[in-house]
Amino acid sequence: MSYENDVKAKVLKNENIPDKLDIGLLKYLWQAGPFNINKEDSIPRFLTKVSALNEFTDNELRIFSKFLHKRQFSRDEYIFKQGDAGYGFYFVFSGSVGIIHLTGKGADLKEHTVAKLERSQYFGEMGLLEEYNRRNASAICLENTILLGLFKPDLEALLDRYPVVGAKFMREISLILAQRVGGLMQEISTLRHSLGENGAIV
Amino acid sequence: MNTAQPSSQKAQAYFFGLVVVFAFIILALFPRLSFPIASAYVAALVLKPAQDFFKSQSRIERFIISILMIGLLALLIWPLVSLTGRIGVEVSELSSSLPRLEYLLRQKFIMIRDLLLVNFKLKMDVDPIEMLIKKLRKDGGSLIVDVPKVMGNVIEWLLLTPVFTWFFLSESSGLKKSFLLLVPNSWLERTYMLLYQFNGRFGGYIVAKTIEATILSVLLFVGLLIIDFPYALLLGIVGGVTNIVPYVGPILGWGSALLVGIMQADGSSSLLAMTVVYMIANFVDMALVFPLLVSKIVNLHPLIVVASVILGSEIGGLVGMIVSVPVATFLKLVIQDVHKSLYVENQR
Repeated sequence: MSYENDVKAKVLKNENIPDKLDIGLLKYLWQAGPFNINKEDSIPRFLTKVSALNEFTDNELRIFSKFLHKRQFSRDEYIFKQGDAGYGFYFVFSGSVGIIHLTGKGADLKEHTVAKLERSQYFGEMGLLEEYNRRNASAICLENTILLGLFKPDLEALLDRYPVVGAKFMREISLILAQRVGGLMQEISTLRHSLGENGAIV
Repeated sequence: MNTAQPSSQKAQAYFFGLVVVFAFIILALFPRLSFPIASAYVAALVLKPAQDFFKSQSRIERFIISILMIGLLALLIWPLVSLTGRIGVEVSELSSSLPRLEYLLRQKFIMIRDLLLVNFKLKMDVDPIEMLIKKLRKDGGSLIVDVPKVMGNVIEWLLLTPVFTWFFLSESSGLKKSFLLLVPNSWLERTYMLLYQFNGRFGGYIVAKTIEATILSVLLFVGLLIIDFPYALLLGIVGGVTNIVPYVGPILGWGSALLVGIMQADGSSSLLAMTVVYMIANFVDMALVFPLLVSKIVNLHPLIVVASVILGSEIGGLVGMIVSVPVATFLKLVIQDVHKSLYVENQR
């Protein structure tokens, strides 16, 4: 019996008919389900593997995924450069990204690879928080890469329309920043202990 | 590390530029399309806050948009239906008084011309009143010939605007994502942020100006009604609409009432009372409505506003004057962004 005939029969028998189908929710459940073959391309399923979003429920991830922008980058393409104005936060959906810090000027310009980020990792969170953020390092694609970007206007819309999901995301961003500040403090204290009174390494 | 710009990035930039230029050419060549799109965009901006408010309460988006559209149409149609009769009567009465205005203006001009000739021996060869009347007759005549075409365009515009507004409201998220897909990766963040800021400010400006014009129209209508000045409703609407133009608008509104007052020739007391009504209405606007609603949104220096209004009138007449402030706001955002990237970044 088809779905339509089933509903018709229930109406004729004065039985309760099922609520309206939520296609978005069904689509998400299908994509996130264990029997889905096309797992690699599913954004909600990908988000379940991002450590920063561990606290999100499946429905919250579905809502959050609607605000993300899928962007394709080719090998050696810059996502942003050090000193650029930054308004976005990115998840690495596929491929890999190098974070490079430049020091010196002119002929003394040196590149330091700070980190290599791969699938499920993220970067650029300061761009969402500061009013006018300047990127502290460059991000370059080390191979053909797909990123999921969340930009300041999207965060504003998320906070306006889904305050619970927005607040949860802001809490996660705060935790990421707290971890980074903690790491920096530890590094500073290690460096202080390693320096002599004249600033020489002992 | 290879730092050369990959050719795909250049291709992206060229493609985006071509699409934007093509879209602008199409819109410039076909005003029958661009006018409904522009008015629908403005209407969508006005309805957006209400849509966002209801969206956060409920998930039935299309139903909410339908309700908003019906509300907007009712708001537009109700005054049109209920007030068209009265406005029509006032317009036809005003039209019948125009020959009297022509006669009065001619008399005044002859008086001033003779005064200059007798007292200062200055002879005026040019007759500005005659020139003005000739131009009005010519324009008026061509308007009558074009009436069927104009009416057809207006009806088409009235039908298309709600359709496009519906489209802008219900598909705004998809439209935005489709547009951003065209933007090259290297320009994405700045372009998105700039458009977001402009949309926010322009939307706020439109909503604030609509409220301001409505308040002023009501104040003028009530004031003129109290002093029993003719064409109170028509002058109230004209005063509210012209007030959208910064600085010059209030004078335009008062000027139109002055012309009506001269035609009536009821004596100076009526003109004085009318001027007091306009002064009170504009004082309320300047002291209460503008500071509370508009000033924070526009945030432009008064000199910039005056300069943009003058430039707007030079380029696009009355329409140019109305859109001058939003355009100046957009240019300010672009200049601020470029300034920050050139100076602030280097100072940090």
